[in-house]
Amino acid sequence: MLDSTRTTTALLDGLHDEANAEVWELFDRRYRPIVIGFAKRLGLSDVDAADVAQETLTRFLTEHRDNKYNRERGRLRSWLVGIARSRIAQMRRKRATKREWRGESAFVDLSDDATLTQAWNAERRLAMLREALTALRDSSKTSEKTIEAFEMLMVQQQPAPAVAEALGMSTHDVYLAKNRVATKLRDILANLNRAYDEEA
Amino acid sequence: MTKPDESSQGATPTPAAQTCPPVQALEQFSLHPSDGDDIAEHITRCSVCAAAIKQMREANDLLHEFISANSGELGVQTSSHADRLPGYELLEELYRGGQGVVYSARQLATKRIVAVKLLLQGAFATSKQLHRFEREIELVASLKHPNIVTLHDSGVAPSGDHFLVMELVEGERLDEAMDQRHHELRDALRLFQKMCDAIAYAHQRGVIHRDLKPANIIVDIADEPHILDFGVAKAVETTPEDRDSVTLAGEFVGSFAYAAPEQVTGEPDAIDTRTDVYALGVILYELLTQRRPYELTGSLANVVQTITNAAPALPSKLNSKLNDEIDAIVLRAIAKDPARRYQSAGALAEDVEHFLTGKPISAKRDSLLYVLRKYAGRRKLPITLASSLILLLIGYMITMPILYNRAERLREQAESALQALVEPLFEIDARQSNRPRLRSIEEYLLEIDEKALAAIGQHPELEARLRGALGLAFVDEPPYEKAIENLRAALRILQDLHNGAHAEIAETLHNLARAEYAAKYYQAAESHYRASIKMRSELGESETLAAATSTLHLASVLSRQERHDEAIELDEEALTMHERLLPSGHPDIAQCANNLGLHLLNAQRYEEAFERFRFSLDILRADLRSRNEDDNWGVGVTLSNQGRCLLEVGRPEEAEPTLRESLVIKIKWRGEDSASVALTRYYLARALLLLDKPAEAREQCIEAMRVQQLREQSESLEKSRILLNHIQAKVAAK
Repeated sequence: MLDSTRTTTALLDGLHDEANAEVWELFDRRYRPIVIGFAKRLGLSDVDAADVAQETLTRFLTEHRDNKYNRERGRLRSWLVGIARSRIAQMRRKRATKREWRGESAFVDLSDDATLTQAWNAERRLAMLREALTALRDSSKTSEKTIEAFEMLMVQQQPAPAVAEALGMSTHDVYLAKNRVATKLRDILANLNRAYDEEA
Repeated sequence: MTKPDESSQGATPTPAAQTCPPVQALEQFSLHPSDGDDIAEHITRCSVCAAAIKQMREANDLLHEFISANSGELGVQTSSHADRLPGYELLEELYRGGQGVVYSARQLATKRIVAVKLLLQGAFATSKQLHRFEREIELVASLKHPNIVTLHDSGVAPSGDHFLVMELVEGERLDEAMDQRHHELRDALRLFQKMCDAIAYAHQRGVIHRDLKPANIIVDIADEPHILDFGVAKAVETTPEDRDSVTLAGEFVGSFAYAAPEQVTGEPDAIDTRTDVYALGVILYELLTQRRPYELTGSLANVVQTITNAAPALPSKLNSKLNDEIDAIVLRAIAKDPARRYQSAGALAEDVEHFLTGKPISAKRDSLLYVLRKYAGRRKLPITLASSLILLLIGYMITMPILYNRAERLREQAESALQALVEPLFEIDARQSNRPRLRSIEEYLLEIDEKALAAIGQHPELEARLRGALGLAFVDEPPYEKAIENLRAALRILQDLHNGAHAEIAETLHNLARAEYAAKYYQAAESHYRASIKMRSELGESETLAAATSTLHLASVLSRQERHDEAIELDEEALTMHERLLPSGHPDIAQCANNLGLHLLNAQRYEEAFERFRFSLDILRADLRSRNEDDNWGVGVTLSNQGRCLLEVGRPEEAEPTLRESLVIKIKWRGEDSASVALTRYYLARALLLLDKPAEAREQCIEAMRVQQLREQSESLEKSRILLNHIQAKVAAK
């Protein structure tokens, strides 16, 4: 699972230490899915998106270690988006000749910052949601039964009385379980929001 | 979550507080609002319960967000609810078609009524298709337009079927509505215009419909069209290799009436936004005449034949209310050749608008692009220019609407700039006809420099591209200054636009070096090729064909400066790169081998050179055999080099037939006046002289000199003159 206790700021500091592979792994695991999703949102195939993510993250690491990434000058998001954007543009150019002749364009305008930010934030949100759910499952404080009740009610769309009967609890407890999960997830999400402090 | 009675402390007690429903009922209501009319009524009066419901819904929404974000991982383990879709209650079957079944449904979280399309299981035979589907759907979901049916959601049902959740539009399908409504021409055209606008919107976002037909268009009570199933055709379409004939003969027939020629002839690569323009044209035809352009009956082959070849009846012949302008619009939209159609749905909508407002329509003029392309096919000199322009135009058409769709004024500026760029290419000869005639290239250039470039000055990116295209067009034609000047200007603009390394800069550096090489500015060429290669490496593009090509060219520059060893080394590097990047037997590998051979020849390493030429010829000939062709320019060049090699090692009797073969091929591809042909004649003359055939040697040498004079090749001419003196001496001796 991901380490949601370490803030991005802490990870960034740790990245300067070339010997510390663990920090890089955490950073990579946190941002690779976001960059991949981001690139796909901008029209790249899975394979190309994976390439873009690889190039973006390694380039970022190099620039960060060369102290080119200056937090005064821009947020982590704009930095990563900037690198990814140029890689995506490059990828598109590679495929451009054929497409131009076909007159087809399946692409988002890369010069539109609002669209890029939106795409990035959507992917970041997705990443956090996934991470939060994993965190919930791994959390010892939430009982298996509570999660099961939540899944049967919300995911499988079973009526509350049926869930209650299946799990040997009251209907009231089923709803309580659901709300407990919601509260818990909201808390985890708030923590993650602090951890992903890209704005810092 | 708190019970209403617990949280009511401090809140204004409501008159109905004592009759508040139990918390389970509220929870039930927050999940399934349709199940509790009494509660709906209660919360209008009770602020406490209303607040509780609001909180519950927020929690539910959050949970739904989690569920959809994790839909892949969470999965649904039980199959006892296979007939249900998570989050939806299916209400009524609306339509059953080839791809699947459409239901009306209630989205439980929001209570809204939606349309759910369950795609039949097996719609995706391969994971590739499934993957394509998912990607396409993601794109389609981003379309938000009043005349496009919004895609809310998609996913996999517990049964394994894929489903799409769409906005439910009340109305009639256009094919049903067609004969009852829209008898008024203007109404029909207004309706049609809205469809075009919606399609143009989708095209600008990269989504092609591919299966536009009246059955996919719903017209609501306010006469607004709503286009359905965007992109679904592409998503569920099978590729040619996995499409079987049964599908072709059976299922697809239903849509043939709206399928463009490029669709029925199985050219998936030829399908683009203009394919939708064609379908729109057929719909317009049908809307105006109540008939389709073609009677599609008989065998599949007959149907394809009709779509690709038959001429449609003029709409005005079928409906006396129509005139020749409408004919022109419809016929242009359904032109067989995509290049002759409206190039975008927006252009079609615009012409309809012009017709409605009494302005001249563009369909009455021939397509500029079409003329350009036709011209490019006939003449030699401007091919590169014309094709560069076409590329530029197409590139422009792709980027401009996207770049400028939020700023109409800028778009207009760019358009007028483009017009200024293209118009000087043509002039109208009023005496003969109103067909445009292409001007001479010099005249064009004179005007383009002053007018067009001035007009596009405000668009540095466009100017850089134009300069680049112009430069490239003249890179192999003297005077090379024209190319160099434009490419240098393009380079300056690009360097201003982009800070640091950029692929476009690398490409322009390469082209500039090409022009400088042609103009014999070898030092400048060397430095620009090196700069291009360096930049490619900075961009992480060292292992690309572009970089390999620059390396190959750089070798030629060095060879010209007599730096043979460096040149050979670079040639070998370029050859290895090409072999790594291309499939074996690729003609470009042959080209590298030829260049290496030539530079070995210049270094007087004849045997190695000969081997390279033979290797190159083997590749070229195998490639030609596989395509059932006899020869090409590359074979002519390599043969000439090989002939020269044989001559140098004192085997003129073998050189002669080789050079003759080369000559025939070179003349066939470039004509008698080519400098390259003259060069081969020079070597042939030398061979003939050694073989004691001075009379013919003289003929060949004189012909070579004619061309060299024509092309002002003073150095070559001098060599030929010396050779001619030898020949004359021999003739005299005889």
